[in-house]
Amino acid sequence: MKGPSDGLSVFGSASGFVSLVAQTRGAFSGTFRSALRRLAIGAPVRVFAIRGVDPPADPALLHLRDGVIVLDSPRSATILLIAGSVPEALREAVKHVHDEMAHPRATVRWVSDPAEERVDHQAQYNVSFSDLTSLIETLRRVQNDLVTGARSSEDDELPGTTRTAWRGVGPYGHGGAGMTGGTPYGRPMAERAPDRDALQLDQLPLRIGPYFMAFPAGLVLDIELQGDVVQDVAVSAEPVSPLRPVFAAAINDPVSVAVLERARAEDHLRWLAHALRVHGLAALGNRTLKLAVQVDADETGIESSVAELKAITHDVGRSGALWWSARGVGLLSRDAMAGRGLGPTARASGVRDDARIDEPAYQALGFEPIVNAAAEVAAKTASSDTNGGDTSARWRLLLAEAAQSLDLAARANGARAWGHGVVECPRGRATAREAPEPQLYAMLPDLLRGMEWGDAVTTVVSLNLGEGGDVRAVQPWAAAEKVRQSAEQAMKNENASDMSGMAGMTHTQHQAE
Amino acid sequence: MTVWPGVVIPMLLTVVFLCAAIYATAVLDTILGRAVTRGPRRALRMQTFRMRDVLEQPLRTSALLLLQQRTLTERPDAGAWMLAPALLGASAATATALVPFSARAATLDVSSGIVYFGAAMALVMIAVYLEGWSPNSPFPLIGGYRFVAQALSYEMPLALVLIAAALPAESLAVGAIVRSQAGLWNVIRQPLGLPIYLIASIGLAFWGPLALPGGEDLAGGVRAELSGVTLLLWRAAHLVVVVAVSAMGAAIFLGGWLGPWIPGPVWMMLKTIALIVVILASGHTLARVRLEWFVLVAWTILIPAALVDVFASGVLVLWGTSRCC
Repeated sequence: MKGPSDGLSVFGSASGFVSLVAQTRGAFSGTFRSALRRLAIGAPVRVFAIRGVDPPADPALLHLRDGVIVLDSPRSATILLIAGSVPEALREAVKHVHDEMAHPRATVRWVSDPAEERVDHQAQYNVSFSDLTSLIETLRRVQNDLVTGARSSEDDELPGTTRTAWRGVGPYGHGGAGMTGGTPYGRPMAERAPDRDALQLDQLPLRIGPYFMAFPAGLVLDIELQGDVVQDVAVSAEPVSPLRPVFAAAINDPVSVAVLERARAEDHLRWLAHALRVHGLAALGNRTLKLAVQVDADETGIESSVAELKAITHDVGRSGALWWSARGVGLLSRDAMAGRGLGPTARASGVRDDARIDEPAYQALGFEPIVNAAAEVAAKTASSDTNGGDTSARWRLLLAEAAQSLDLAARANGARAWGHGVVECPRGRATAREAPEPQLYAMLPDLLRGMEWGDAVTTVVSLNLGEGGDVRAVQPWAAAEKVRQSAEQAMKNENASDMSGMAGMTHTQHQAE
Repeated sequence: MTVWPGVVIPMLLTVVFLCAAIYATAVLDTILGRAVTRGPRRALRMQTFRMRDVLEQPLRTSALLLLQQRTLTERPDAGAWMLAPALLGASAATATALVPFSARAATLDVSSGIVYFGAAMALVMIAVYLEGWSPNSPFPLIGGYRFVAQALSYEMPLALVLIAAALPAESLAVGAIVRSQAGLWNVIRQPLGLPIYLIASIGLAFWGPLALPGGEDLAGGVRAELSGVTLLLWRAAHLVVVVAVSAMGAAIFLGGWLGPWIPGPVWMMLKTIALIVVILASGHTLARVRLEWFVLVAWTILIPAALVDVFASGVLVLWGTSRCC
């Protein structure tokens, strides 16, 4: 029988054996890693897309392409795609998103003007293709370069410890002060407050946005959560969504009704596609987005679009989206929506509010707005239960209006409309100075208060607040500010008590003496 | 020493089966997603799929994730975070090991099979909650909360329909339940059983309409903070849960290996794939439900319906016993 020393003698010594094992392991690890690299070349590109101002094309269209996966969370993305330019107020947020990503990672800026100055980050790729195929080719090349090591992974945009400023602060170095003061681990503490059942439960302040996938880019909500119930909401940054060029043009000059109505149908379908994706129906959402592209491109006749829209309407109904996801969620009363020019959102609440009613070209086509009939009847019979429109009603109306717009476009025969300072855009009545969205943002706090988080997201998505991309300003986070002040106060108190403790000790010492 | 072949070989077979099943399920899910995106008219044209891409995609994505950094959040519960995918995968693998693939081939043919299955599947709740709790991040945490409420709603109907299936077999062993279906499969004998089991299974596998802990409204929920190898492990474990509930459903309600003309294991495989397709298809065709709605439906419709299933099965068994004796 061989003893251990017989075995080791083959390799000369124990250290030789250890070295051989390490070499074998290293070689195996190296071989394994290079095999993985070879296999990972050609993997679908993992992208987290940020929408900025004036992107060359809608980044949502990437959902329709094979070989690209657009992710909800930046954590496992390899490419940060910045579509358009980032406004000054959101640059810090983009850097935070970037630093959340795992290595290897790279940033690709996708801008309309390649000469635009790169002021905000270290992106090494600056592309301006308006066609997605070239963009995807670039994304694939960048990911492959990262995988093979031909390109090194990007460093943090916020080097150092911006996010961990709490470290080393306070008596335990965790950012706290006193018993409950300070910002332990950099976040406001959950404080107790009464919940909807009058129990005293922790209320967690959170800041959501500005790049939360379900919301328009730039929307920042400061919320107080108890469990997943939203107890309080403040809109701290309001996105600005540009009016589609065709509707912007129609404010001052007459435009073809067919073009306007195709654009309206496309906008409604894009809105619905996004909502479907947020509700877990990515495949049906993609199908709807494809139809939106088809309607816009005018490559096929309207008849085929109408047939596909009918099929999608049927499948949306069958998916339960109008029933178990949206019914009774985000009810907007008829009275609250009356006379405000809030377009389909108002019409879904039973308000007959559509600027097209008074437009001669639409009158000639026999236009009659689609209004949520149930809400209208309920208002007349003073039934409070259904006096308004919920998310389900808004989606139904959206589908019906898309079909109506395609019908109007088919019958328009060169008719032209608008040119007198106002237009009924897909989100409501717009003028050169006023857009409908600010009114909806103002409604959000009252509307979302008391909802579960999932319902709050459903409601925000159903309001069609636009794609966003730009914001005027981001308000400072009130919760963090409050905590900072209380920490300062606690520190002052602590110093004062230390001083009085020292005074007490001196007094005791005197007594002992 | 003679014990080893009896333990190691079935375990190895289970591991190989699970790896193949994870890959096949991932491929199947991609195909179904693309079929729905392309619409019913073009869905059946296979050339539109570029099958080579579809077949390679899971392998290439896995390699990419293996090369990716495993990121950490601030102050995570690191131990629990590592444990969660392992617990999810191990629970589902244990449940799969209980499923007999033929009259003589089951990795773990114990006399209390469905109790064992229920116990293994109860740990799924712990694993998902841990995955939500550990990263110290709000969206995963809400995902974890949601799954607890969801689990409390689907577990009772799941347990009741399994008990109902055990009654005619007069045994809790999965093999005995399959053999009891030699004359008539449970899907016909107990018409309420399979629909309730499927709804509960979709809840257990947090898939499609019941993907509440991982919803898009939470930016991925429990997996929102995952990257690299942990994301890969979590996704693999998630698919094993789908395979486990489908294989058990095929054994308990569709007669397992029983069937004419082709060998028993092939029947079992086909029935399992059929249930996997149903569960995966729900992810592409049904919208995510509101948690409140699901809790309401589970407690007011599913549990009473499952109780009716148990009582009706019991009465039928007693009636059959009194006629023959």
